[in-house]
Amino acid sequence: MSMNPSNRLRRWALVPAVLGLALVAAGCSDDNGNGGSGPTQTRAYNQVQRLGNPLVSEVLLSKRSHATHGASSPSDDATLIAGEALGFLTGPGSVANRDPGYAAVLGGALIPDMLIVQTDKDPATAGWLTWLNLAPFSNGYGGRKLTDDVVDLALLAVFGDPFGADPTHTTPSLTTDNVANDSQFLTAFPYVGVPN
Amino acid sequence: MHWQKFSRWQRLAMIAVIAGLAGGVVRVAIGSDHQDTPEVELNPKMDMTEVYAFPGTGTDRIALVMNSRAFLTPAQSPTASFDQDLLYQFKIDNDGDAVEDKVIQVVFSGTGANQKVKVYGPLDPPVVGSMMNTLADATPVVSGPINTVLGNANGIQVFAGPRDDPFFIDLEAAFCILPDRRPVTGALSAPCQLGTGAAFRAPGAAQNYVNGFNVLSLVIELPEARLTAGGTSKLGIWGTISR
Repeated sequence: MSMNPSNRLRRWALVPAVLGLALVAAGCSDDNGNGGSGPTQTRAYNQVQRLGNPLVSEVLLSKRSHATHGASSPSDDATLIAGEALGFLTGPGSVANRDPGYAAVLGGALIPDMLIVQTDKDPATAGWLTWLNLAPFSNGYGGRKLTDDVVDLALLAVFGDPFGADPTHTTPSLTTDNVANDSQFLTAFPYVGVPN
Repeated sequence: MHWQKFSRWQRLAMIAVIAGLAGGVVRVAIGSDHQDTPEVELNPKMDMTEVYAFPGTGTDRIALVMNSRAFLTPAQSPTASFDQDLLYQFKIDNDGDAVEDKVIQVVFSGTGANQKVKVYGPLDPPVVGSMMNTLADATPVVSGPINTVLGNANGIQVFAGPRDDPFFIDLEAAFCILPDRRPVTGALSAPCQLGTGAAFRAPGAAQNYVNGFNVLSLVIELPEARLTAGGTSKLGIWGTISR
């Protein structure tokens, strides 16, 4: 039996390939810790979307940063997004052109980006940002109701002066989008209106 | 350019190049039907729209809502379901360090209107942070079909399914003011058509773009004490979708 050199080379080349497949197979059967294959409860998930306060990502961050916000945690916000969010509100080239002190107050209310709820406060005070101890709010329940006009409140906070803290750097044409809620909410669970 | 100057082969080659360019244009147009980040482009069910938290029914109860799947049409809604390959979570910080102390984890199985939901928690996070999260090795606290009120009105109550999108905004005007936030394709991707400049439309002229659309709602109500346990009465809440 004779074999030409190129055939011999091909056969030897198969050896590492087969070994490699065997190693990969061994790794697969072991990596979920129960010897089985396919998805199990130990599969790992990586975050792609995150939402705490409404409109923080959509308004304060440019589109290229939305994926970063979506894949990170509130504890990363000071490092990853606070600079860009503050740059929208104040400083040279900023969109809102606010007083730096006012921008810091607003940034402190929204970042880290979590919906703040004070469960020991009167439920009747519930609403977005009502947890702030800053007139017109007074240390209330907070959270966010289905009926809240968060777009108008966000616009008012960014371009208006709801706290009476920075009256000279406002943009009155941008403080409301002039639309209202159209949903019919339920008084009982699950509260959100029936589908259209 | 005089066509006759070129040989037959040159003419055929030019036609092939032009046809290839045209084909490329068509492929780009089809492939760019998306709204937001590359992840959302791959799967619109990853697109979380809003999170809500408000007092529930009865004393010291809290309702949490996470909506996803933006701009679900009425025609799509009867068979709409959540993505069974995604992990939906509410994360709760109860000691003021912006790190989750409790998580509520939600997964789905099956598709269409017969889909089943499983809810785990609130429990200590099996993995803290945004990456490599795992589902708790535990028994679901509530499970059952979507489009149904599940659980117990004194304990944990769950609903998952298509609902009217509660959000309202004049999105066309918003994208005129902040044009870089526009989606890349679709009706909202076009440069500002309103002629209003960087301002919102007047009352009456302004339009709620979200009106008539649905979302996939995940609603969970439970005693506040389940979230404050081991911490304080001040909570920081956020929703996550992971794949």
